[in-house]
Amino acid sequence: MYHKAYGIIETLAPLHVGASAGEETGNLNLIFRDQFTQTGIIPGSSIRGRFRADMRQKRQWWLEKQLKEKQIVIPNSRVQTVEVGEGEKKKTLSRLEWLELQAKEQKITVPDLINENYWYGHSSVAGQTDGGTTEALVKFEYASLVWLPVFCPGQPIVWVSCPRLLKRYQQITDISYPIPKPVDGQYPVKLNNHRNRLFFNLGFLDNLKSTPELSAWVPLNSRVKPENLVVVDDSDIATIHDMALYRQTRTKLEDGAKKVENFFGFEALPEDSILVFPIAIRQSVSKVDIENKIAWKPFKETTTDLYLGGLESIGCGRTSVMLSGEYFTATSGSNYSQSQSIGA
Amino acid sequence: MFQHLIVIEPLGLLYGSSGRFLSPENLVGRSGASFPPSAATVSGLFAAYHAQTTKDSKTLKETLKPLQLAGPFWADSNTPENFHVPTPLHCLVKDQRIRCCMAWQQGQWLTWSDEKRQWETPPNDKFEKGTWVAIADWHKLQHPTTAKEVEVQLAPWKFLPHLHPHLMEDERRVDSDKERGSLFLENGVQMNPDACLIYLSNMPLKEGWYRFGGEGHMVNLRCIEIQADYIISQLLQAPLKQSFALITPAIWGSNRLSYREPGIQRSNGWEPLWNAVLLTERAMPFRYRLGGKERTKLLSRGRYAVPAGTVYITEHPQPAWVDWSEDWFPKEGPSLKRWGCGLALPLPGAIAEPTAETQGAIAS
Repeated sequence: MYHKAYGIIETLAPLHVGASAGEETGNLNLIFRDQFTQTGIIPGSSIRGRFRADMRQKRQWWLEKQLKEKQIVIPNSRVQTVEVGEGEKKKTLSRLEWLELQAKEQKITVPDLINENYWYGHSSVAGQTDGGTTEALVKFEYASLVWLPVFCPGQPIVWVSCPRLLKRYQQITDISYPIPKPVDGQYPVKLNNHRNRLFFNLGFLDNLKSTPELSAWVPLNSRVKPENLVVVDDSDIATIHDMALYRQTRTKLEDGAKKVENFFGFEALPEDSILVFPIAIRQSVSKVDIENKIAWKPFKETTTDLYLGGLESIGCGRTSVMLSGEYFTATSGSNYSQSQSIGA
Repeated sequence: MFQHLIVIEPLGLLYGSSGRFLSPENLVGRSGASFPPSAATVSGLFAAYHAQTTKDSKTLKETLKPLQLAGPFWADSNTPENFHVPTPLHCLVKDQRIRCCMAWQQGQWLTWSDEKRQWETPPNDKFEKGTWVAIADWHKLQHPTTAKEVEVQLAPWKFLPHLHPHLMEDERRVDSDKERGSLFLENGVQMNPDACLIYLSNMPLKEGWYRFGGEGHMVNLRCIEIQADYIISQLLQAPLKQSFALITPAIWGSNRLSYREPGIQRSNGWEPLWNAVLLTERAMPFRYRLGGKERTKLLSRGRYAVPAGTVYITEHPQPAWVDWSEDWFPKEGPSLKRWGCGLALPLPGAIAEPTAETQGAIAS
């Protein structure tokens, strides 16, 4: 059994998760998609990687602080690799490896709270039994869309979803409302100005009817306007999703001349999309920080800005992530902020 | 006797394990994708759950001793009691419809032709494999005439090979220096969000989120009591008589040798119990992790199972599966009846009833 929790991702910039490095030379870098709704997803492994990298940095800062207190001379923060040893034993270590080595000599142990290997599993190490791997205490599954903003000229932006996507949201968050469904071609919606028709590039939705209950399906504190929600049929979401995606064609110019060397395009989930992902935390992990049983709290607050996915250098990937669910509701209080000060 | 339905709804992807042996059909591509997980996986889930609450291993063993499971099956999430089981192999399926049913008639498998009013050899054609039928339709399957009305379903999951690149620690680039390789391909499976996996169990399990099949894969598990009016409870109690079909894989024989029907080991060799006629497919590998003192359990001996869907015609009438003797099942630790091996449902239509008309047709 696992504690239940979940994360809500709100994209603050286009979000591209799909092609891995080296694939940029392809013609179009697609995003990962769900096989049944054909809508974008973020794999659980990518989310885990993000959380791991975040905590790894905290551990590194902590190590540096501890070593400084012990009067150890630390290389300049811009130095990424350090050479150790002499002659044949000379080898290059990454900055973190060097810090770990120093900490070991000083008998400094990293608290579990900021040890990413403790929470997200230790990766395999050559020469150890079973690779020395450990099982993660915190597990992530993929993030799926809940609300996708669709922009059409001259109309308000509407956030679109479908029963299947809402069903997953319901399954993860334990929301108790019945899933809204488009019945007899009527699409539950409440649009500004009481319009009952909505045009998209590829068609239009008719017979829109006001459904105030839909606002219950909007996560707290999100930027989604509860009066601009539409639930469409499961079979329509793929087309609307395709239309709503952020797409950009990019060129690589030749170094010496203003001449195109290579064309490529990429697609991304637009900003203001809302996604949900489940987080399962081992039952053995206590909800509160008592007697060495440490509560998992990756950030100082329950909401934080995180970068997910690729193409960060051209403005993609900024998101706001909110953690919630059964596990977190019991942990709010002073314990958390106190313990977090180690990592800050 | 089974009293509960274990309903498993994935919270994300699942893992399609490779467990198949290399075969001529399987030399290339996604070698041996095996899904859904067998009842042994659910058995492990029970063990893991009880291990958390039980202090010593002896009590744990006692708790788990009576455990009996069967599966895998799947269902629409809204109607878990009407789950889908593998289509019996005597049904010839094309385009999700049962075209005709074979029946055992005077020493051969034949199909009845309505047009010609006679028994004839089955059509020489390619038919669909790996299809499923709803348990509520089982009574229709029992008779060749009504079997054609049964709607056959395809599996509600899709394989989704999923590449996990290992990134460098301080750069968002694939770490290509790793000796062990920087790319890991996972054979992921995505279930239709409206479907769930179903297993039968005689013990309940607490509702909640569990890890199921693959390290990072989480599922929501529910437990539903099997009511007396559920079709499965009636079918399970019915005697099998002389013809029946398997809805789970079956293992028979000793620990070393796998046979196609239960038998008795005598001094002069192995003696089959049923002297059965079979309609079956190639045997499938069947193994699971069991035993060992280390944290990682040892893999059991590789065994061959008679695949689900196999139709048996036996010499003498047989009782219902629940009344089968434990002695019929091989033991590897517990008896293999624990994993619902060879769970069978009656299928009277697999033997052609000799009416005056059909008798005449055969004679001519």
